Amino acid sequence: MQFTIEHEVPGRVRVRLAGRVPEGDVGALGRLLAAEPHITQVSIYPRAASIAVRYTALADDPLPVPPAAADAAFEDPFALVPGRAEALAALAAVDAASVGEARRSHPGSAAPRIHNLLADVAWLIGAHLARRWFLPAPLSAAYAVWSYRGFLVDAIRSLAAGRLDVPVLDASAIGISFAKGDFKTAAGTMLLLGLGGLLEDYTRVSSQNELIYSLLEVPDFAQLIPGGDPDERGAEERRVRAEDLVAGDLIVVRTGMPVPVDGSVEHGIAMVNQSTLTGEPLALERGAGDDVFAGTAVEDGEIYVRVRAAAENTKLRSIVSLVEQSERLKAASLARRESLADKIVPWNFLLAGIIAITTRNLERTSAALMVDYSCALKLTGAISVLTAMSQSAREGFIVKGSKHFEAFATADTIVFDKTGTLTAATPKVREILGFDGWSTEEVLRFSACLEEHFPHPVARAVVNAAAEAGLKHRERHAEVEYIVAHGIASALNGARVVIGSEHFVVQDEHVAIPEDAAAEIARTMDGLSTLYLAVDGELRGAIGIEDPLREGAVEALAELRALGFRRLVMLTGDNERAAARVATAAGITEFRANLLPECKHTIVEELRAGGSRVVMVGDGVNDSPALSAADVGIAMGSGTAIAKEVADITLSEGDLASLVALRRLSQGLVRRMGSSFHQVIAINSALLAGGVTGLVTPQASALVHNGTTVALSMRNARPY
Amino acid sequence: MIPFSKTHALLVGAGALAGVLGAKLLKSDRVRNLAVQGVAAGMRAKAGYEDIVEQAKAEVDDIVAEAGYLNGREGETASE
Repeated sequence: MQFTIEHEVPGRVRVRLAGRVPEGDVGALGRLLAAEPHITQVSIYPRAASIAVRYTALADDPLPVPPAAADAAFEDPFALVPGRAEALAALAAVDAASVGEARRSHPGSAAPRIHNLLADVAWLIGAHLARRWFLPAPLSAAYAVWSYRGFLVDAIRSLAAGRLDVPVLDASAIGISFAKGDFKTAAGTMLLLGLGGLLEDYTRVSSQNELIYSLLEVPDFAQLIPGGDPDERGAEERRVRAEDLVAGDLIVVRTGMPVPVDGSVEHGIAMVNQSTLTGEPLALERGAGDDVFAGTAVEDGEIYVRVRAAAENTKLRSIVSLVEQSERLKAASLARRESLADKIVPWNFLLAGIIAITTRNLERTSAALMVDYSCALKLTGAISVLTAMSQSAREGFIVKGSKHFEAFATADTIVFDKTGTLTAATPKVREILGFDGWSTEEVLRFSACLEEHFPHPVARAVVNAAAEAGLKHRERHAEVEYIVAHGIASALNGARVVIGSEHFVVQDEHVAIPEDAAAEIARTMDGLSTLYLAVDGELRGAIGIEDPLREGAVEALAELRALGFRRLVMLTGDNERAAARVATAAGITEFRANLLPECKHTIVEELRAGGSRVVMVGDGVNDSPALSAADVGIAMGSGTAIAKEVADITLSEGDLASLVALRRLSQGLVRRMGSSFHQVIAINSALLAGGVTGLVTPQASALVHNGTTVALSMRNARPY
Repeated sequence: MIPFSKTHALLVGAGALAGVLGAKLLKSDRVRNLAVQGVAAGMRAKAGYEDIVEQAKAEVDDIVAEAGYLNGREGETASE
């Protein structure tokens, strides 16, 4: 790509290109340049044919080479800035082929570009000023009357519905200016109302886009069956990225896994939760011959799906419908304040009426109508929420609707799941015991053979341990059945094989554990989570899994206490000893172990009934009932699709420190909305009083009103 | 007889004539071309204005970057 340097400062260079950047290429170009590790920030000015790039030096860069002595006369003062050469090389390397590839590789590239706020605002203001300065008075007056029709229609609609609300107030304020013959003020008022509407639209679209783009980054995996035969039981499976699937591939989707692409079911039955697409919270049964769609999740069962469409487009569609649904979750308090502004309107009219009758002064009457609380309230509220949502995407959590901020800010109890939430998502196998003549390798190999089919972190630990030990296994077993929160059952040569928790193996499957084996297990597996392997009703092995606490969990929990959470509770389906170990390490005093999923749900309900406002943090299929029962449900980014679907907030980084940041941000948002509400009411009431008593002219009052609204909005756009 | 004002009658007649001729004129090709040229010129003006706004934005960003750099350098020399 040809370019010349237009402006430079160490760390930032702006270059001018040979021609303008086409709109469709802007996103792809930005991504392409941002992929270069030296470049930290890219700004593209498509109409000015200019790109500005901020760069930095990396730790293992070669030192910049000073130019040869012969060029000393033409010294480039920036030649020795570290990182610059790499940044300029990245710019030069851009060409049509690479931009085209960047455009195709990102599924979001099919989406239209967001409106450029600056261009729209500049256009509104510029057109207004042009009309005011250059258009002869009669023509600009005529234009003002013509552009009044939109406001008039809205007002008539409200009046026809029997409401005296903000559109009526706006229309009458402008109408009174027309009645006084003051077309300039009328046009100015319409400009500011138009600006308010523009900012509100931009707020909504921008927050939706933030949400969509951050959701697009979350990777999806699929279990591919290379053999391609849906009727073969026990076929080999491979875990691949959803992007790599092509039409015609056969994948299997089991309990708790997401359906990554559109396809048709060729074998099996499952209960599929389609709430991301249809909003329907109950799962539907899908069997052979039915279609399944990307973005839905299997709650229970197993289906073999033939891929119909590649992952790209379908993921975007499912995310868009998710975001559209979250639109309905507008901040409750924002709506409350807007309706308050609507309620004030009749009093405004009453006041105006009284003044009109007593003073018969049009100026003062118009002053009573010109002060518009709702425009200021809507603008400042919308901007606070927009800032919060875009900041949350950057800080590592994705919030599905602005009302969850408020719920999280006022919560006083937080409930954690243990495995995968408080503990790292990658537990490790520590001890393996073999019984009845089985060696530890056989135990491990067998367990891995069964566990590789499921997305549980404990299963992954077993599979990783087997892979590290270099153990390979041919699939010799029949169909695998996953019993939620308990374990896995399968059949091998007619014998029933089970692997899972003690509760599952001993109580549900009625496997007797001999005394000496129990003693050995108790001795070796102290404090570890234990998996029991049994074949044909006899214990063959035990695997002890170590579940280390997440890094930074202790500090995060202490901070949460400091920020106002009075109760921290841990719930787990794991055994008492392992739970106690994790709880004391994390500093949690309240915990319950050996819980079934229904119990977690019941406990959350009990806490809520006791008057607490409860936040639940979880990651697995067995957390979903509790997540939906809580006031705010938070899912770990590394968790299952069901949890992420049911939860209100997702921690994309999987870091508990994000909870602390989220709490601060939510409390900041609530404080900011409260204070800006009071300030708007105070300032505008003062202006109203001034205008009504004649101290302030309507023009001045409108100017001050608009100025303070803009100032408050800009102040609300500060980071939290 | 009804009082008959010559001026008014002439005005009415002129108005009717203007209406008929005007309608014909507005449908003519020449006027249509003028309208198209006018709209094209308006669109060019709008595009030019947006270009200026974007160029101004780029230059303001340059100024801000330079100012930030200067502040950073002063902070460094102050701390030395």
